[in-house]
Amino acid sequence: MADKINLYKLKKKGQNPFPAPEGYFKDFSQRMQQRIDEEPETEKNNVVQFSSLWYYAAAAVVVLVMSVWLTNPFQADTSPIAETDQDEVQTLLANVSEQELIDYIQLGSVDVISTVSLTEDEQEDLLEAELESYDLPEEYYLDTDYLLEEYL
Amino acid sequence: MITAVSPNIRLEDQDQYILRRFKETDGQQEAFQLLVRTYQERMYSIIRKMVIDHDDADDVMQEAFVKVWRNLEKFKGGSQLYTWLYRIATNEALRFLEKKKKRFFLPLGDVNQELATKVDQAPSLDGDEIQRRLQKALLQLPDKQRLVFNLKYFEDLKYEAIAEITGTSVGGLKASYHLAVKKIEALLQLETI
Repeated sequence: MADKINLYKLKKKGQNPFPAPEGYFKDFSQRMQQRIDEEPETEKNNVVQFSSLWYYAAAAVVVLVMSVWLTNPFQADTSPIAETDQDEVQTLLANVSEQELIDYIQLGSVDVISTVSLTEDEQEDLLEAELESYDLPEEYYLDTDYLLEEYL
Repeated sequence: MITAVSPNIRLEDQDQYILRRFKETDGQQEAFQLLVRTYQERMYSIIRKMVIDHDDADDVMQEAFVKVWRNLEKFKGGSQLYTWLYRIATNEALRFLEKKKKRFFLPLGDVNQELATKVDQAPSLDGDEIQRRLQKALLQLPDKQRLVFNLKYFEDLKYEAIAEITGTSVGGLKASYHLAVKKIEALLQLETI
């Protein structure tokens, strides 16, 4: 029968299963400084604005689709919505703020990526922007005081 | 063990110097360079054990230090500098793993399979069968439990320090670590049958 495995007997002092490649740390601090120097001052704000741009675009598409759908002349006249004239529709939509539309899209089932037909690079940028405000699940929250907003 | 860059200076004093100097307009670069040189190896060690691949660890390292740069001025000093830094490093590593799962739309199991493949390909584990098996067994744990295990078993941090880094109670950590050890031992034992 094999010996019972004991992790502490397996442990070797100073053991490092994944050492860095030779020379990696030699110039890391300079590379970091270079990276810092290249960081645009307002990059953080641009990411937020960029993210909002796509949601505004999606919101515009939703408004357009809703306008067409609500006044679709090919719908059966039995629908009470079809009886609503265009002016009324525009009035109804005007009462919905852009932020409410954005919130609806973010929380609802509207898929921004397919609605706005983003390219692969744009999808990646949107994902990056979403992750900037992404709250990790409770079990991953390392410190209740360490909120992403603390770093904004 | 982390030591100050100069052997004649205590680490705590160096940390205070870094924080003070960083707030001075002409001292930011010097302070940041000193901070990076002091903590880079330990930060890398923590990050690399989570993401496995060196190139990924390099990316996460850079993201972590960019966060440090942006926020060091606001560091309140409520915790020790190294726990604050490690908290950023571990959070960035966990975010990276979450992002990887989201990007490829893969369930966690497939991401872990990818990480297991990277373990198999790691040159440092070539010929060290038991360590390779240990690393692959660790991938069976939830990420945060794996993190706690790494901080305790490999980094030899005290529970109090890990508690500051992870925001978990010491009691919770002890339970998590104890269960992790039992689980890993059982997994490794199973492979020997």
